[in-house]
Amino acid sequence: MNKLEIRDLEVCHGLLKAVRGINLNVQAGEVLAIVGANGAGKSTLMRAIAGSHRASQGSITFMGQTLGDLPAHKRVGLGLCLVPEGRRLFPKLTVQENLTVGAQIGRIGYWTVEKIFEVFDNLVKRRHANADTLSGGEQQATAIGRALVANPELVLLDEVSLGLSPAIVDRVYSILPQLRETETTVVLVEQDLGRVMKVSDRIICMLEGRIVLEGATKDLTRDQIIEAYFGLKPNAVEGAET
Amino acid sequence: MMGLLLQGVLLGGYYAILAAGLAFLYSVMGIINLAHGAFAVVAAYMLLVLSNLTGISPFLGLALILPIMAIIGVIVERTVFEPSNRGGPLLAVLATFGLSVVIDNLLFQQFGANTKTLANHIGDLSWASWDFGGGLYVGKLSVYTFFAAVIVLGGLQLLLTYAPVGRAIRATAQDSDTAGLIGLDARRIRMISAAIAFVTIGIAGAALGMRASFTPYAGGALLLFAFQATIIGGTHRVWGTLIGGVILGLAQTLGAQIAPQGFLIGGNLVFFAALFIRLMRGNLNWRKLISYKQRAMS
Repeated sequence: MNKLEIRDLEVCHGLLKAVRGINLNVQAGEVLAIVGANGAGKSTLMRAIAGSHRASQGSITFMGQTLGDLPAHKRVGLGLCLVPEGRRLFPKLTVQENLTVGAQIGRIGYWTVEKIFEVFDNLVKRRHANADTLSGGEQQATAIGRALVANPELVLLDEVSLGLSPAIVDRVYSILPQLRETETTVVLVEQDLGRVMKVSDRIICMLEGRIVLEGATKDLTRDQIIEAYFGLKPNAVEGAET
Repeated sequence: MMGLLLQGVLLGGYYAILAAGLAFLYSVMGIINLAHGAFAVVAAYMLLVLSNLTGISPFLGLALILPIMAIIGVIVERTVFEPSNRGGPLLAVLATFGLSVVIDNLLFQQFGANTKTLANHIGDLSWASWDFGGGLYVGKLSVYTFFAAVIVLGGLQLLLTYAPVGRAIRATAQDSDTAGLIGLDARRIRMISAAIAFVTIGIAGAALGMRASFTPYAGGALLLFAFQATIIGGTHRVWGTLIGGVILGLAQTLGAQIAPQGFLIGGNLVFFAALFIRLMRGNLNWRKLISYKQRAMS
């Protein structure tokens, strides 16, 4: 069953088409990774799905409901949450307040504020610290926790490892097994190919706003992904849906 | 001297009530509401009309007027603040200035230029005082006004810190786009914020009407003192408004001891000193204004 269906999606930044004719299905419970060079349109696609960037053409269907111009806050109510690039915590709210305000949407489920403190135990001591005093890893953990306490059906993780040390990234990614357990669907944007191949079920590669490679992770080689990533042989790659 | 200082502090409570709504609107919505004083005068006239028609005390009248002020706040947010703020805070400043002119003239058309007061509706409260001996008299209304300021500001502080809607207001104030991404309806939160600000404006109007006389054009002076208290105290914490009001009240009271014009000059000097320090320290949030302007132009 498809959790998310995207058809002929186009998203513009002014006159520039950042996302061009994307068609994509995301199945329930899977971890889909989106890779691509800077400017490939990955984050724009994530923002369009989350509702913070309006699509100029095409449709996005989430759990059978066409999202259309539904604003971002209503998409969260349906169970669609984005952990944005750059974390974007509320700097003058404490860790606890950032998490609590994320839970205010009122979706009951596995994730609670206390559960987040259990999973990211490094946040416990920083519970009452303002978000702008946290380290990068603590900020990322808080940002992920803030999205999870809304108990999403589908969570979009946009470059959650950006600017973090490998050890911290390991800690951040340690949440994925629990997301699988709770059957939460994950779409993640990531630059680290090694990590992507380790954690994802399926990979798509974007180049200049288009999907140039798509396939199950186990069926793709690192070289195939790198070729598609840099656009070396964009027409030779197999499995691209567009 | 003791009486003088006490008088200054209590006057500060009055200014804090005047400034609470102005500071709240700026800190959570980024709006400098130049119609702030005019709306306080509107509230004072509404209380006056209600008291004249029904004979009830303005204190009781507040129970009816404050919800009306909240509704006015929501309407003004949807029709003036929100549309004008999309073009940046400077456009909102111009829009609220225009709104204040319209309100002033509508009040003038309706009520004429005669001064009015709520003092004759509150018994002897406007002039009654406690005698502490040694020539120290403290006006009862001033004390009540000061405690009203503490309750209003304390209430705002509690709301912003502990209530879910308060946390949502703070989150939306810090980043309204991200607030949407976690399920907060920024538009609804802004309407609630405006309603809260206008309730405090209603209380300011009551304080104005009970304490002094007012005319349709009294809003300008009111705005000036509220603005000064806000700048002196800062907008980054709720109690700053009370501190700003007290500093302004003390400066004016002490200034008046030096010369008759010293009342205004003392306040203005402290205001300009605070403004200068804030500009030097860069915490007047000019970056916010510039970023709005750049966003509007892009």
